[in-house]
Amino acid sequence: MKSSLMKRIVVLLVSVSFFSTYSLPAWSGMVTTDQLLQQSGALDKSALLGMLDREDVRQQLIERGVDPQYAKLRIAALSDAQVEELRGHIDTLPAGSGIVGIMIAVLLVLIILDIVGVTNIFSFINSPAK
Amino acid sequence: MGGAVKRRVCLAGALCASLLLAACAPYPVVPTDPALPRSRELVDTPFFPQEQYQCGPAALATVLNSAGAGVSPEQVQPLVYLPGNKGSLQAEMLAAPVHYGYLAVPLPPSLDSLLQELSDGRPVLVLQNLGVAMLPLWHYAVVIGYDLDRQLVYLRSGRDRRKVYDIRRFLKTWSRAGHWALVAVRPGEIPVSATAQAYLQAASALERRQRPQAALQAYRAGTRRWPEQALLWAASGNAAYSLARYAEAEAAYRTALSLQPGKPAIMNNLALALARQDCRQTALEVLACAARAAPANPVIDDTLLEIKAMPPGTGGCRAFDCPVPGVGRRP
Repeated sequence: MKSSLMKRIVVLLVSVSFFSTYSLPAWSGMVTTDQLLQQSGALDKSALLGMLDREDVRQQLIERGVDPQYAKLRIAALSDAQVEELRGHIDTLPAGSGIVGIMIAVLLVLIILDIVGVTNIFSFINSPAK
Repeated sequence: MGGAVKRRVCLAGALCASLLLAACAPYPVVPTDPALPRSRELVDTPFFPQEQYQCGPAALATVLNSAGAGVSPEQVQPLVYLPGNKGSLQAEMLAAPVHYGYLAVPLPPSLDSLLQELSDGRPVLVLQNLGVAMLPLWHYAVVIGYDLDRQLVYLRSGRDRRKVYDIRRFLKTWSRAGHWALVAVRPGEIPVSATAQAYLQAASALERRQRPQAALQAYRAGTRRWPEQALLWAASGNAAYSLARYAEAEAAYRTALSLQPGKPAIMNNLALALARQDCRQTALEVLACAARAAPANPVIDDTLLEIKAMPPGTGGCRAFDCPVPGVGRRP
């Protein structure tokens, strides 16, 4: 708990220059549209936490093979809610990839399901159900 | 007497059997919107055959090109593809179009919205689960048409230029992915089936990517379609403010406050827009009202410092009636 807090503080200090490129509104007193969308009634900026979450997700993108330059761009386009959605769930969320290049074992199961008519992946299999 | 009973049993049996048969027969899928045309196919929708795992970039390039952006899947790929997960995430599919100045608006999860967009000429990017819940196989494709009489839908999908689906089977794969769908539009255009909330979220991405001009255009279109939505007016005010169009920002905030009286966040921003127009006195009154609605708030305290640092106004500004009951007006 304590070490995780320390880690967060270190991350914050190290990345100050990086953070300054996004998320902070140019006018300190303004409540941004993102913040208007987040809050329902309460007036709360919580910009600092938001930035830490963004840094977390940026790291996760880079760890998964995204070019750091692009990772920065990609994070900047996400809303606070979307950052929250990715943080901690990045590997369990659906990642659409299509059927080109799936494993043989998976393929066999899916062919059987296709024949039975549960799925409809392969155009060469005509399911009995219609 | 016995014969009559026998006949009744027979009749009941036949009735049951026919009911069972009726239950098994393929019942046509019918949308609830009666105004929808029976069929529509957007044959001009471009096609980008998918490379390995790249259905996300291919599908996104398809809808972006239809909306008018000339981008290739190769250009989109570094903005959505996640190599470690061999796929693209929904949140990033929604976020990426903003890099090209376009909006990606998620649709309400219904067949009606899907068909409404198609009949309005917009191809729809969908997420499908081609596998089953236990063994998911996530796939992005673009629906380009439908035929209710023949019960078919047409897709640009993977390496198929025109994949024909039985509508029921398509709906199964789509419902296993939560009926998730998006359309891409240029700023100022609003998808026919979009909700105000989803549209506002999508437009705010433009503002986040420092495209205030495009954001303002999108919000303004939003206020014309949903004039009763206070948040759209407030967002419109924010975009105008960041373009230093303070009078316009003020007017938008005032409209937002007429719809949602006493909302402190909007009063906070109105105060800033007033102060920027040399209306410091009115600005301070508005801020005092915001402070009454949200006492001891750090955001309002920041704003107060900021306004006090600005040159005092010359007066002659439109007054503000504080709707928040409180301990009397402050000077």
